[in-house]
Amino acid sequence: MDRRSFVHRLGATAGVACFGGQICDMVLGTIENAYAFSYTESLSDVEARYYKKLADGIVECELCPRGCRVSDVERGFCGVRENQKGIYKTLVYSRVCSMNIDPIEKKPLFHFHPGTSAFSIATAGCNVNCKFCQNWDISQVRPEQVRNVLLTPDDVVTQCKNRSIPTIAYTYSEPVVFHEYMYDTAARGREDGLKSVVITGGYIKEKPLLDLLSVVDAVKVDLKAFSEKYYSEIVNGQLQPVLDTLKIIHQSGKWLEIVYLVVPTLNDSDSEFEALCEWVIGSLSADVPVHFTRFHPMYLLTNLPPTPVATLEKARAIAKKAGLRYPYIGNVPGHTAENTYCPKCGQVAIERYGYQIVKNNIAAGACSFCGQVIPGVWL
Amino acid sequence: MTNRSIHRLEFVFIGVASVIAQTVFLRRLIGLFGGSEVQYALVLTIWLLEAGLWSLLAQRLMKLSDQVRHAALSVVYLSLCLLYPCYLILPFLKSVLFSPFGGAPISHSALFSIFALAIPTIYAGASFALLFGGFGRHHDEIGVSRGYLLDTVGFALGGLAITGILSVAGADPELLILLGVTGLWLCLRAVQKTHTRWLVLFPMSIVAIMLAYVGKIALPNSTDRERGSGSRFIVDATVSDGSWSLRSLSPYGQIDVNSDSLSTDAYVNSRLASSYPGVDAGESIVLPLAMVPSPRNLAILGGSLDGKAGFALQDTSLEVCQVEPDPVIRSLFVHMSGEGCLTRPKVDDWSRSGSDSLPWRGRETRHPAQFDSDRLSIVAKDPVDFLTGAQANLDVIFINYLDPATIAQGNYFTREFFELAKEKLSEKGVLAFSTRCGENFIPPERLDYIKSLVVTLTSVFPKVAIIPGETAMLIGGMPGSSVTTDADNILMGARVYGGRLAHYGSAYIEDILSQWRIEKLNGQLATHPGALLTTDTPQGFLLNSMFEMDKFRGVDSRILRSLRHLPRWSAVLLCLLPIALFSLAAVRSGVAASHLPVFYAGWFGLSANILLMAAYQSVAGSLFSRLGLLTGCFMIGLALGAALGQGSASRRLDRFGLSVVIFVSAACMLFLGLLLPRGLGELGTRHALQVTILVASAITGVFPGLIFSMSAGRHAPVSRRQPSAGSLYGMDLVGSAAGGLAATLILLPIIGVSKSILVISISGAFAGTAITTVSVRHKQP
Repeated sequence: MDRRSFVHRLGATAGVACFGGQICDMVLGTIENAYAFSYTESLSDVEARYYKKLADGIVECELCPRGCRVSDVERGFCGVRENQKGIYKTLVYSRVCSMNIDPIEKKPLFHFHPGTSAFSIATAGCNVNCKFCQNWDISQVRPEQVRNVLLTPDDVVTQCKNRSIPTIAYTYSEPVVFHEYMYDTAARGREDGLKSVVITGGYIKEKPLLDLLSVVDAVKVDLKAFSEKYYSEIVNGQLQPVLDTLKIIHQSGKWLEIVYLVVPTLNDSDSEFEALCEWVIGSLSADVPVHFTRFHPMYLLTNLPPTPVATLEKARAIAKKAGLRYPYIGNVPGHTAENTYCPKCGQVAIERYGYQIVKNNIAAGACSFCGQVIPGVWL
Repeated sequence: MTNRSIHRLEFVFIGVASVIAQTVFLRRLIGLFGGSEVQYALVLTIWLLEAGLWSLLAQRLMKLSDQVRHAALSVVYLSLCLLYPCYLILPFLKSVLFSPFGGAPISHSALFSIFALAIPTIYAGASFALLFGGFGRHHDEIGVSRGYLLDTVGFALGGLAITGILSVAGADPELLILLGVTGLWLCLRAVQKTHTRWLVLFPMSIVAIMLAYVGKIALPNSTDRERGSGSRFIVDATVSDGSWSLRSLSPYGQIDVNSDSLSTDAYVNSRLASSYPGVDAGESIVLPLAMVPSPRNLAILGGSLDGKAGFALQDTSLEVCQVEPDPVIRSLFVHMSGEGCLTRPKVDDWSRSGSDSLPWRGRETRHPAQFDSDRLSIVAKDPVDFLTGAQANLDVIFINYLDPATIAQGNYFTREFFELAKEKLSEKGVLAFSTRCGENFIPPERLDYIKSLVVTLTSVFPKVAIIPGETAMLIGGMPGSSVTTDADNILMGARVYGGRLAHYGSAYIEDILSQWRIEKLNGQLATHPGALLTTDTPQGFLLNSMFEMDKFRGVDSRILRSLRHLPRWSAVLLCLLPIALFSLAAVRSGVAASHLPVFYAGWFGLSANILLMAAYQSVAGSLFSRLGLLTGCFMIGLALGAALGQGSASRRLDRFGLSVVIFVSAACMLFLGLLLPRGLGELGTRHALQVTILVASAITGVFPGLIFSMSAGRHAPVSRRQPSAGSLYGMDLVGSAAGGLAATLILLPIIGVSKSILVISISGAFAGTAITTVSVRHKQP
């Protein structure tokens, strides 16, 4: 073998090695997926409630505005609802992948039983794909990829009663995708005097939403931005259905709070803040609390820095100027804008530090200094 | 000056210029993408691989006419002039392609590095082949082995020069401008070979740069860059109204700090390490403090910027010692401790009438009193050094490195370090640290890692507790400590902090310590075996740092992730495969046999060097500050080996000499592999061990130099059938790249330092046997 042929062979070997590397990558990926999908025994087999049957065994999901049309053995966008021979089934009924006892302020719900705890549960799956998701390891996976605990609605109520926890929170991932489980649990909890709160992105159709509102007590909606472009590019969803959801919740009389995660360079313009505030005042009420929360680099947006506190303060100032009575700053522990201020006398109605209530000056739903009624659900 | 002298000088210059360019661009790319060992190995491998390919390409040009060759040589010299523009444009390109903030997936940074190093490697790779071909072969003025010797001498000189210059000024651009000037001169000379008077530009440029440095040092206002201060590591700093940011390459990695008038975020190795104000507060220090009855002495190792020391000082009976080995962070901490910056203010000191009352608004300082205490001492030492000299009266030792990303930090999470800490704890003392855990879902890789930490902690301490949360806390206690997971007991122990607790206050502490969550985490951990982490087998934290980099599932991430699950024997086989195949080809082919020794030389040299680097860090500390010393020893050995090899080549002692040298190299590695495990376990004898590893590095450098020179000497009478300088040099570099990659990504993380050294020894046996067989069969000249 001369030098030329040696170099040629070397080149060919390198080429084969690169190609082989890709093949190995594919094989390893298959093995990895097989490994990841190792908890199949824990899936539920409960028929979903919001769908209609189409021709050829196809079903159309009627839970969220996405309206997935699903063929046999396929799943919807959320990955937790599957067409099994023309029957649409939820795979996560009573399959809880995350369960914690949190302060209600962590949700955040600032005007709902402050200082109490909430038994928080979630299943895998989500019907959007936010690039900043803080719980992507459970929301952006299928139920087989996480370890689930079997927790029936009765079990949830028992856990709450045993620990004297007054509220059940459906949170972390997107509760809309486990609507059936959430509804049944909330209804069961209501029988025993337990409250239910939903922490959601609000991407849900009217019928399931109205059904849900009949059994829950409060809803916190993540309004990710106030532009369709952002929803399309960053969230993989639509803005208008979320705005519709907000209106329905407000009209239903259930307690509503809005969280707006301020992501640097993406949804932090003055004009967007102004448009948001004007819409909330015009379409909902100036009494709806709006939380401007600080973004921390997460999931697919680790390339962005945390939101400067000054930006949050600017957003809050715009909200106050627009007329919102209860704008807050979130994820900045110790900031004075965590407190609830009486819109009449300006005194601190509820003093907070992080998730902790330092002082509560609200008595019988009114400011203890001037008697001004503070909207909310108080103890 | 004769042509021969000039050519010799040029070979030395190749070495000097190559090592300067390599160091500067290595720093630059690590600065852009993060400073872990994996990133370091990646950039170095790409450098060597591209340099090797340029060398092979240049060798192809040797067949062409003199005119083409000179033109090619001119282009190579001109590439030196492009180093500076390349250097300047890289951050801009990175910000366009990815983001100026934070890191990028390892697959992206590898792709970026491939393009970024295309120009800087031209000179280092192609000049040797072209220079030798242009001047050495035709005029018989200089041999390959002598050229290599001069090249390695240049490496050593360049290494020393850049170490000296960087330690004084840390100025990369001037060095690149200097290289550009000399590149222009060399280019002119390549075109007009007889114009030797241009040579005077070279020393003149050096003198000019030296004068500039002397002038800079002598200037009265240059105290901000004085030796020993963290500011000399700062490569980029901007200050505007109310905000400032800096980027630095400290000995412990890349530090980025972005601050405005209200918040400060510190990144270490492109990952957000602390954020003020943030939810990851300094209050977590209260958990280990609460598990010691009446704590008096607290030592916090590293991570000064997150405010733990400030919070602990609220306990007026506590003496706090903040140990910070990183000069940049220490410097920031010292600067800010007087001003209270980056620390959580006391709750009751805050005015709550509105946002305008924030105490730091409109000024740099935030809470001057917080750190301004006689009870706080700041120690500028490596934690191992600190603990070795500390008295055995510490009540709490807190290892403040959340998810170590380098070997130097990972060494604090080994059995040896825990044992050292145990010796320095009081009878009631505890050792504690946090690790990312996952509040909702913990991936299997993370469970493996946490379990390994638990296993290691349990092997040393009689009492161990794990407290779940987004960042789980692991606590190991002495017999007299009150290590517990009971929320009530912890709150009782933490009563001194009273109403000042925020996240670990009355609402949250019960949640975080809820029995259900503890049972859930322990139940999950029970399904994972875990491994005992020691300084010899650093796989735990190396794999952890890889996990952190590839968790977003980049293209190559799956391969990296899967490598973690390789059985040890298959990892060994995978690394030995290139050498084994090459050996097999060598037995069958004369040309492959000619390339085998130089490929082995490269493979052996870099893999041994990287493994010794890991071993050295286990006992000595950080990567970058020790890199020059260790590499310098290696280069001295390399130059010595090249000199010895040249002598033996001239005496035609290479028939079986080459295989004997290869066998001796294998035997040396075998001896080292047997010796090292015993030493690595003894941190008490670490200074002797440091010297031993430095000597070992020099010895391992001798063999590649010797083998290359002898191998080149065998082919001194160049013919078309024999390999030439460029192909030998290129194959040497390709071997280096393969060795570096194998050692960093496979051997070191999976089978540990000492066993990896044994694998290198086995590879020597393969190559030696093949060369012996070849010598008999092919009767090489």
